[in-house]
Amino acid sequence: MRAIAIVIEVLILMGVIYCLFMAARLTILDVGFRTKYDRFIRWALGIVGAVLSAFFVAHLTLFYPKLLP
Amino acid sequence: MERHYSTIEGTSKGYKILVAVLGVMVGVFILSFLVAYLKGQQVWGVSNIIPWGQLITFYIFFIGLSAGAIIISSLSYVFKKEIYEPIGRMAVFMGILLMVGAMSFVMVDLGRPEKAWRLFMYFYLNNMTSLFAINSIFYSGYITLMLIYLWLIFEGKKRMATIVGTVDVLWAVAVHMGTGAIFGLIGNREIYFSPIKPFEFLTAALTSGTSLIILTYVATFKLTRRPIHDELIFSLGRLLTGIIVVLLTMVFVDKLTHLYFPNREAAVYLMTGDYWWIFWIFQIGMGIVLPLILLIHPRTKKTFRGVVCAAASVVMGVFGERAALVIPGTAHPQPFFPGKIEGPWGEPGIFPITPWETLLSLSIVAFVGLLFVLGLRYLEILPARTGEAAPSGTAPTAQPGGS
Amino acid sequence: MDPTYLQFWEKQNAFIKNVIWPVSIGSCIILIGLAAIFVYTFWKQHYLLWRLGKEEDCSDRISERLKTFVSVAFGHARFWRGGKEGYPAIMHFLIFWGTLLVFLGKGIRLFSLLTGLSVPTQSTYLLASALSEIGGGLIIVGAAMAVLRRFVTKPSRLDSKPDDHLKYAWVFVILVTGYLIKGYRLVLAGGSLPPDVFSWAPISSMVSQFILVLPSERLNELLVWHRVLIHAIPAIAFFGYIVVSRSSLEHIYLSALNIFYRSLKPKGAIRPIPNFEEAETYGVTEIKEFTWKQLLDLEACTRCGRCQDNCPAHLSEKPLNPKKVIQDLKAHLLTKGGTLLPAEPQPESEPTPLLGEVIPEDTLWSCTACLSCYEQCPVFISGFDKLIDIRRSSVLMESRFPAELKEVFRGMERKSNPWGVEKGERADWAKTLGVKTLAENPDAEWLYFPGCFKGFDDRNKKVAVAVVKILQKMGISFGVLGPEEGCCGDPARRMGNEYLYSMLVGKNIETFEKYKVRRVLTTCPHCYNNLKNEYPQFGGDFEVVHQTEFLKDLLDQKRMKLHGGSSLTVTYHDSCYLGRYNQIYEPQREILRAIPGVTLKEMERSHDRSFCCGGGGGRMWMEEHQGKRINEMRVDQALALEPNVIATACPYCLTMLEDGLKTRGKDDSVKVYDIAELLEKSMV
Repeated sequence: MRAIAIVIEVLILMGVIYCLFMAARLTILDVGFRTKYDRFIRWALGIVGAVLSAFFVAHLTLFYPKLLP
Repeated sequence: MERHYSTIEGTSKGYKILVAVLGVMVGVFILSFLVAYLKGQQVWGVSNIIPWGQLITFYIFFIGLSAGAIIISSLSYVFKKEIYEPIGRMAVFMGILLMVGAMSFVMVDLGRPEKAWRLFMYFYLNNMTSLFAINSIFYSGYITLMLIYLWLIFEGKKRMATIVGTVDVLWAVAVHMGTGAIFGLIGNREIYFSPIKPFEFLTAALTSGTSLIILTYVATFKLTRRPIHDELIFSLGRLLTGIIVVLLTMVFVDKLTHLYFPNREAAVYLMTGDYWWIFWIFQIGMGIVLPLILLIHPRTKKTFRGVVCAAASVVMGVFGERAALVIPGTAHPQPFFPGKIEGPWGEPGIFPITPWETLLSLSIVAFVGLLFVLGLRYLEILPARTGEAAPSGTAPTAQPGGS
Repeated sequence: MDPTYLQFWEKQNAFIKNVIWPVSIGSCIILIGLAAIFVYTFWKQHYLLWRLGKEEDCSDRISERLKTFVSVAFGHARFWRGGKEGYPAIMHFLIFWGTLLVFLGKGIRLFSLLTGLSVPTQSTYLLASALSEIGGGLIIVGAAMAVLRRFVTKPSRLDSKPDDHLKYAWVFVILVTGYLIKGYRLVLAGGSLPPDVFSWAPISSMVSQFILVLPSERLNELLVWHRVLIHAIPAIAFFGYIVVSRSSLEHIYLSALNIFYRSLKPKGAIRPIPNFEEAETYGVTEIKEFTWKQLLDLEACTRCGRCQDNCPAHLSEKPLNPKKVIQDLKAHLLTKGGTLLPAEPQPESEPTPLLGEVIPEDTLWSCTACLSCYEQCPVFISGFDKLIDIRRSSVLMESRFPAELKEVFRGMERKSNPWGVEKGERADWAKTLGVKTLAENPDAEWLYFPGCFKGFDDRNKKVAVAVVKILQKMGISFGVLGPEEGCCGDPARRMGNEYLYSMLVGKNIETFEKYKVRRVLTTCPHCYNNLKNEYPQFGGDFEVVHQTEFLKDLLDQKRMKLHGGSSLTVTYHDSCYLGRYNQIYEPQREILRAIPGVTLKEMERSHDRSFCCGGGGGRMWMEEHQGKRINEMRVDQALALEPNVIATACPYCLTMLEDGLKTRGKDDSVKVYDIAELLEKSMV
């Protein structure tokens, strides 16, 4: 049960990060940065996102609650 | 002179292998981080006695490299010296990545990185008399400035780039002197406590930054089959010589002061204790003596190999300088009540080199390397090879100092 | 409040006070900041662009605009078109109203926090909670429908950009994390859950069944902090995203503005060129020659593709795609200065011509001016008026137009008809009917204006004859202009030759005034539209009636006796200029139903969704070099019903449909008749 909950929560958090980062990338392009930077932005955000996702797995594995109320 | 810049093709086998290897190392980074997070910092060499280990060493080393790189970039964009044009963008880019690396080191060292948000709750949840708190302002501003600086360079806005570059250089000085001040202001650590520390840090940053630029220039241009201008190498070499002399002076004055009574035990411990070799072999030997010899001796100073070896020596030497500060600095027992109450019962600490900490450090270095290598592929960092057309959609950027 | 649940409510209020309240205040402050940023980005990214355009007054008749705004923006009136449009209509309705409910619920609760209405918890507060939860549920259902449609069914009219899947993922994450907040608050409150919890937290109460907690109360409050921040941060960032970037969510305010500022002039009336005599440019060559409202049109487009799905040119595989026209013009507008970062200044001497650079020539001339794109657009965007403006520039400034039109223009200019036939032959059809001209009968009540087709086309002359016979049988006082009648000018205007058009209009108005014409009866919807909606732009002021309205009126007055003929299956083809342009759909149908023996069957594409015959926009005189033939496609749609007769009320449609039947080899078994002909045949 805890493992499933952790997986769901990590997915939700990854969803949050994905949305925020994708929005950052699209906004950067919309405000006027040229598309030639797009590849690099995607890589940079992707790498940070992966690192954060790894952090979420670590953090939730260690700290996620264990008890039902 | 209008200079074109281009990406590297990134199609060679060597490049792909390099990216793959560095990518695997990033996986090691994540694994090492997970292990430390889940098991605690006991898997590292740090302890209650030596709270700062490899990660902090690398952190201050990288900040120095970054500040140095930015200052070198200013030779091109602020001081408009044409000879440094080929490395201008690369230097700024390296400045950013090295800072990213430095922040990765320090965040991971936190043990609970998610608590870092408190650092930005100025005056509310953080202690603003701590240099770390002040540095958080410096570092954030520094990274932002560098990003703006690089973007202005890419967009060919040379006037704005000069202005932002000037601010950035001054800010880089503040950043690294601030990092030095972290140590210099700590009164109860005798090896640290010194008003000269910020200046010593800055000078070491310049030597290590310049050296890393030389090494990266040579490696990158050689591997991407771009012409290497000897004049650039020798010019940086001459610059390096001057800065090493300044560094030598500072180290000498600092250590001499510390060797005088009444508080000299820590300085003696540094030079003769368990970690004497870090100080003498790395900091002094490789960081100062050997490169000076190579850069001054008539047989080597005018040779390409001589300068490159000197640069490599400086990089390792300055790493040793940082380590010589961090490890022996904290290993030496604190004099709470000299003669009566000493830190951990008067015994100096021992810092073991542990596998997880070492893997973590090396993998963060690899992470920075990966970002660099990807940046070369997707951003126009390097000068275009002769005969290479400018990528479509990019206008040639007028270079500062050009006609 | 039941004391049994006192502990529960006390704990709820503690969470509200300690966690939700500070985060709400912080969020409000940030939202105020975002509102200020919105003012700036709106000005920089939108207003400055619109200001590039010319003046246009769109602020008249405010109360009418507000009424439409409410019915269209809130009631989604233009979505509900039946058939396959039901699904996207429901989907958007759920998302829209779900969002309103969520905000209403949150707004009430924020207000109650500020005014202390939540302590103790009042029923209003609980109602607000229920509204938000239900609203969130509606959004999830609507968004799931949307995701299914966009990414699984994938209708051809939808194109997807990264922003399109981002918004669904984001909203889903915000809603799920929102339910988790309430779920955690329910679980961590301690004490018993009130039995009515399902009524005010239907979804969260179910979620709360699965929640794991920490052992201590202090740590559990941390959990609530986590939940609130994991929800608040993406939620606030969402608003920031809408404010700063050019996401498709901007349609929330851009489309709303477009609905409010829509043109209230008659739909089919093309804007005249102001100060024609003194104007230095005609039509639109470069983007800033559009009006500000036309530029707003470009930005309000949500890429829904309804225009594309109903454009006869696009459906017949011509290069024209109305959605693409709008999007290409929009992309061009944005490259002229649509970002927040300063763009490279354009050298003044080199404006970018739209024709050729943005809109290809064959796209421009594929339009049949059927108004389907405008009719189907939920937010009143018209691609047609922009194409006409570009045509004007092409014809008047560059003399650049399809070769076939050269003779047409010449004919209209010299002989006042598109075929260049001698003017004197215009009224030959009437000679044997004893019809008098207005010169002979100046006191006639009605001017019967048959138009060029009735005047010069043999097939259509029969329609005029039928009309005249009806009028004579009914004893209506009417006259014709005979050779003094000139082409109404519609083809010239739609082909972009505004100069020729103004000449033709001027002549006709002069003639009308000479005979003090006050009431005009037309048989051709093109003439009808022009005389009614566009002649007033040039000072022509008279009552204009189409034959279908006129004949229906006569029927209603029970002045006609109709006898049964053979039983006929009739399908009626709506003419664009009668239907979409002037909303005349029913009189002709009622006439048909009144004819004994007629069984009326409707094509799937009828009324406002009628499929153009392909003759409008000047295309009657242009060859179709690409794709399928529009008239054949329409004939196929009619033949699917196996009719005996295809009825119409437009000479263009009659001609095109007859041609279509010929090429399909069905002209012997199926006939095309004008309404007037069918009525006249059945009159006693």
